[in-house]
Order: sequence, then structure tokens, then C-alpha cells
Amino acid sequence: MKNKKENFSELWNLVSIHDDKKAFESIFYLLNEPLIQFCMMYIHQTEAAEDIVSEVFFKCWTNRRSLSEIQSLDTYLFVAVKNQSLNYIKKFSHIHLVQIDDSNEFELVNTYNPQEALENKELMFKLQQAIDMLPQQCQIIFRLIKEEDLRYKEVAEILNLSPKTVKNQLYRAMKKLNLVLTEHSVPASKFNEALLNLLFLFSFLKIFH
Amino acid sequence: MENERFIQLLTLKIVNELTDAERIELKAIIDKNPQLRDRKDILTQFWNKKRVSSRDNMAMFNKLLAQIEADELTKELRPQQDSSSPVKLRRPYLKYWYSAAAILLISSLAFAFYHQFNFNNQTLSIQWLQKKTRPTFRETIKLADGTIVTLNSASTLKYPRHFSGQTREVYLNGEAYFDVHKDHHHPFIIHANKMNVKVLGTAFNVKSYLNEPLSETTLIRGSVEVTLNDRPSDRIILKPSEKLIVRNNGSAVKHPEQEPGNLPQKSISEPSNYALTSLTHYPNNDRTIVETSWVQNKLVFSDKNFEELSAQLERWYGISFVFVNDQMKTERFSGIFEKESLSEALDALKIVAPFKYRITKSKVYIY
Repeated sequence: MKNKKENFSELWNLVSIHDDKKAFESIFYLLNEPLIQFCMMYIHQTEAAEDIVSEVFFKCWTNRRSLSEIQSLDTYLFVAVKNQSLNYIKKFSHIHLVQIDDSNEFELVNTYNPQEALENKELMFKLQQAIDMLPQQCQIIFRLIKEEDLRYKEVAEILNLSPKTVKNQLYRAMKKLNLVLTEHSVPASKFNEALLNLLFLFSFLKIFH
Repeated sequence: MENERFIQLLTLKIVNELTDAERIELKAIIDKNPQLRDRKDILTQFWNKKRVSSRDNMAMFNKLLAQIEADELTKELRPQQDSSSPVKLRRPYLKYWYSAAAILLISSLAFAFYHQFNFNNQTLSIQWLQKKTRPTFRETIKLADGTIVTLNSASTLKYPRHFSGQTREVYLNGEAYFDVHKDHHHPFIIHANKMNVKVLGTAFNVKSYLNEPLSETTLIRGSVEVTLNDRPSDRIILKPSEKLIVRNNGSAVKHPEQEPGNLPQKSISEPSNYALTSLTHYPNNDRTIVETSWVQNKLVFSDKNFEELSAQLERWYGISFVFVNDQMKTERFSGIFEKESLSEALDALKIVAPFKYRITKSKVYIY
């Protein structure tokens, strides 16, 4: 994680002060996908998200001189994408997108890894589902930390929250996952518990016999 | 509760913020509760599962680079103020073309356009043709690039004899079905009153009559990007089966018979509002798409009120409809007409909602 940070600082230096397009290209390759995925947590439409992120990169380049003092470029870009996404939502909130065919769902972001071992497949799917059902803010926080390796502080800066809130939201997500696992293995544990109780009773009785 | 503490510690471990003391504590908890070991493994596995990236970053970067370079090109010169451009050919790329030619850079942009335009008096030396259809007539034309346009009745298409420049642009008032020849390097753009439709795919329908309150773009194949004149930075992208309806500015729509003598007032322009919806399929027949069935010589309407339907019938049969009283205007109909004569069609409608009609040489009276 530290390396990534230094990497960005160097690259951005090259871009903002020396107009280095190759460095800009490297930044693009590193952040394009993460920014688009992040944008889609707000917008749910691939093309719109791609356009928004592209605009952000464009403005980033054209204003590079005035932005040269930025310490943390990736945070800056995430914030920019977030703001543009919220603007977009505001503008288009009265539009209702209806697709005619099978489902009425928007395009879902697929975070499922197909290289999953078979016996775990169902479990992983259940866990992912649990995440997808969390409140939006909680989901965004979870995914930023998980996928982009961002620190509490960075996420806090991007989403304009306190680091403590970010931490708590992450706990919340983890607790939900734990709950899913608990429920998943309930039959076994109930049995164990029952058995344990029986054993206790037995030994208890034995003592007092 | 221990479970709670377990999760706390595990979370810290997962983000690499565990202190040594906490690490020991976590180990102790797991030793005491062996089933938690499995939990920890599963959650760690889930956490480490990264998303698979399938994006073509290179293509996207090249597109961005092109945008940057075009932008840098225009910044080299002062862009001209085309405030009173006599021809209604204001396009977003006009600036770029001017700048490019004036600099004499060895860039493909300059090269391609240098010979095409007359820079002294802002008129473009493209030869424009116009195709206008009469009511009841549909016509198909083939444009210079191979694009096939089917014009519905009472529609006008203005197009250049040859396409030149970065884009292929035409102007439409009315309704047309476009089957666009694919050329990614030269986007096909249709200017229809307040809408500009940029084609990223191949087949779609645009309906925009000046005397009607709504304009529509319906996409059948490929993808299409729509912008509105008064909100040039908004780009709405349609995918197949989607339809965009734009409300034309209310002031353009005064029906001459309702307000005789009043000139349409251009009030304070309000931004267009629009709605994105889906295609209308005829209820009993999923394959018939209402919006484009006219291309196959069928008039299909689905739950339209008589007033709206009469506009379609007017164009279909080439005769004006007059409602003697307003009562029938709100009656709703669905149906398909193919070879029916006007009176046969009206008789069919009469079955649904009783009304009387009288046909004269130029008008149909409904009462």
C-alpha cells in the first residue's frame, strides 16, 4: 500500500509539472477500473460511469498545473468521481430507465470470482449477497477498503465522513458476514449445543450422585 | 461477547492493523473456539477474492488521448464567435475545424478538412439535398455513405450529397427509420429539432414533428447517444429496446385551430424534460414493435387517445381530422391497420367507442 502511494506521488509529479503523458497513461491504467467500479456503486450504468470517469481524467489532465500541489491523487480522483456521480444522479433523478426484456434490474456489478473452489462457491455467493444487501454507504465503504486497499482515513476523506464512522461501517459489514456464516452452520452448532447440554447435565448428575 | 471481539480483531487483521497484543488475543480466542478458525479462513478467503477486471483500458485511454489532443488543438487559437451563423449548421466540432486549418499543422485533422471549407465567410461549401415526403407517402433513400433512411409521411430530411469531415450529419423534421452504415471514425448525427442523435450502432427510429409536443428516439440495434440542444453537456445513451421521449418546447406547439390569430410566443425557454422508457410492444403480439411498424406499412397504435391517434391517421391517410366536440378526444384505442381504407378504419374504431364521422374532400369530422 505504501508503495502504491509513493508511486502515485511520483507519477503525478511527472504529469503536473513535466506534462508527462506516459506517466498520465500509467495513472490511467492504475485507476480507471477502480474509479469506474466506484462510480457504478452510485450510478449502476456502465456507459454513464465510463463517461463520468473519462471526464474526470480529462479535467485532471487539463488542470494538471493548478492541481500539482495535491498530495494524494487517487483520493482526489475518487472524490471527483463521487461528486460527478452525485451531480449526475441529481440531474437524471426524474428519468426512469426501463428495460424491456427479462429483468427490470440495472446492470449488476459482478464482483464474483469464477475461479472459486467448488465446495466454497455457494458460501462465497452467500457472502457476496450479504454485502449487496447492505445499505449503500456501508457497501461503498466495504468495497473501497476490500477492492482498492484504501485506508480508513482515505475512505473517510473520499466520502466526507470521520475515520471512526468508516471503521464502524466496516465492522458492521463484517458482523453481517459473520451472521451469514453463523446461520449457514446453525444445524450443526445447534446439534453440538444440544449434545453439550446433555453432557453437562450428565456430568452434573454424576457429580451429585 | 466473545463473538463480537472475534469480529473486531478479525477486521483489524484483515486490514493489517492488528497490534501484537491483539494478535495474541485473537489466537487465544480461536484456540478456545475451534469453529472460529473455519470462520476466519472463510472470511479471509472472501476478503482476498478480488474482482476480475475485463475492461479495455487501452482503448479507453486512446479515446481520452484523442479528446485531449483535440482540446489542445483548439486552445492554440482564439475560437471564433459564431453568434449569428446564417446557416443553421452550428456543430460542436466547428471550432476544431477552423483552428486546425488555420494552424497548418501536420496533423490528420488539418489535412482532412483543409480543402473542405471556406473560412472567410463562415459558410460551408457542402451541397445539401432535401427529401420531403407528402402525407400518406413513405420513401426510402440511400445516403452517400450507404446509410438507408426510410422516411415516414410528411417528413423532411436534409442531407449532404457527399459526407465529409469528422461526422456525418443530417437534419430531420418528422419521422424516419435509420439503418446506419457502420463507421466508427465518422459518427452519424441526426439533428431533429431539439434533439441530436449520435449513432453508435445501426438501426433506430427518430420521431420529431414540430407540430407535436413530444419527440422520440427508439433504438432497435446497436447504441445511440442523444443530446439536447439546450443541455449540450448531457448525453443520454440508449441501448436496444430503449426509447427516449423529449418534450418539445411548449411554445412551438400551438394548434392553429385552437388559437387562431395567435403567433406562437417564444417564452422563456425552459430546459427540455425527457423520459427514458421502453419500447411499446403490441399487447397480443410481442414481436410487433409499435414504434417502427410503420416501416412495414402497418399502422400500429397501443392505448392511444383519439387525439394522438388522429395525428397518426392524418399522416397515414393524408386527411385532416377535426373533432367537433372534445368528448371523443380522450377515448383510447389500440389496434393495427394495414390495408384498411379510411372509412373501414373509422368503422373499426367505432366498435370500441361509439362516435359518428363524416368524410369530406379534405377533412374528417368526428362527433
